[in-house]
Amino acid sequence: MGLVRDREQRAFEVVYDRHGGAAYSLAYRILGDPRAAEDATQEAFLSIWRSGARYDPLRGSVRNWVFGVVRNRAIDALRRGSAKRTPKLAMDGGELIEKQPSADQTEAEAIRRETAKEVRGRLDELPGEQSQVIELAYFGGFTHSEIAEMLQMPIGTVKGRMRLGLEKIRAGLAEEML
Amino acid sequence: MSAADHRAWEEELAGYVLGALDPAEREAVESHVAGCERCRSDLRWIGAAIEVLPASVEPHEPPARLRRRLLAAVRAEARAADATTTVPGRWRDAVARTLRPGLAYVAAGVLVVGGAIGYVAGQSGKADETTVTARATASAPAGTEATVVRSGDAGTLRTTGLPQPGGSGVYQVWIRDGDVIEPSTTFVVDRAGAGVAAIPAGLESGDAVMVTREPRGGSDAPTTAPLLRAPLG
Repeated sequence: MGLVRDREQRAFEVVYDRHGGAAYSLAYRILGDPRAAEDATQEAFLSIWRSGARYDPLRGSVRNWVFGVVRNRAIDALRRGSAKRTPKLAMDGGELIEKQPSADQTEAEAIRRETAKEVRGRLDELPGEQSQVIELAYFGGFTHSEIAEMLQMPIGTVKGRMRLGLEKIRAGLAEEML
Repeated sequence: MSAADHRAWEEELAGYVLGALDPAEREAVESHVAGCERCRSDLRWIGAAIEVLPASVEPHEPPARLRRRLLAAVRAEARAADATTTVPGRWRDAVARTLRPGLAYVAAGVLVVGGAIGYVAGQSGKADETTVTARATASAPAGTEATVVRSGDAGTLRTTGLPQPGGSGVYQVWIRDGDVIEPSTTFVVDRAGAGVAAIPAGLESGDAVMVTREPRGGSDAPTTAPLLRAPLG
């Protein structure tokens, strides 16, 4: 049993080393605060450790499983009020400014940064009203009705924009695979 | 169900994958999707869009103390666990899917799923040919069948009952050798679900042939669960 536990710990370590940086970045994006992001990432990975048996390969990649858990923890933290819950949209401008690479930036981080830039470029091609509702939901943890109230528009409009935006993102992915 | 009704569900599915539904709405979607193949298919399709969003965020390096704290907590929990406690055994799945070094990777992650394997070996028309019958895994549609006709190191896979893989997908053959999975041919199926794939090499060293659905052009390592498996004996 000791051997099994050793192997499971090593497996967890590998999963953290592969996905911890991206997971922390996602939490940071949602919470906008490094300490809150650290706490949410820690909670998420401990939850992942404790529930590793529930990972189902049929439901997608490990990376997306980790992202799902981290997002849920970060949104929970937002709703608990451990970070200020204000809409923080890419269209605000600040998020789009690329940081200058520091001298000690690792190659892996440089690749992640480049990938993020490319993906953001694709998202920027969406009409603003569609990316707005998608970001409010995914990164802000707001529901349909909360977004409708915030933007003062019918809930049906919010739903329609979400769907259209996701369809465009998905269609773009399909084109890349051709 | 009318097209308008489905459009309404499509919009709910977008909210579902974005986490924008309240608990009652979420429950209603899950209940509907459980009984609606069209919506299940749509959910898989639109759900892929969500994977783009985390990749779009500005990277930040987590503090080193986070890793130290996490590993210390995990070690402590593992030590405290009763020897009879079930350990998270499927971590091996997770790590196998995480460690994908290009052309080959630890097989456990994609092999634990699926149903029993059927194996029927017999002689076919030519003296040096052997026919291996594979049974579909639990991930395959009902009625999916396949055979591999071997002739030395090469062979031919014939399938029936597989759905067409969609505009941007293909089926791919894999040859497993212990913990290593090597990519082989890709193929598509006709409207009747019949497909044929030539396997140019690898059968003598492999212990099983598998089929997965992959993006067009194939993959270096399986990205979906096997639909068919045929042990090579």
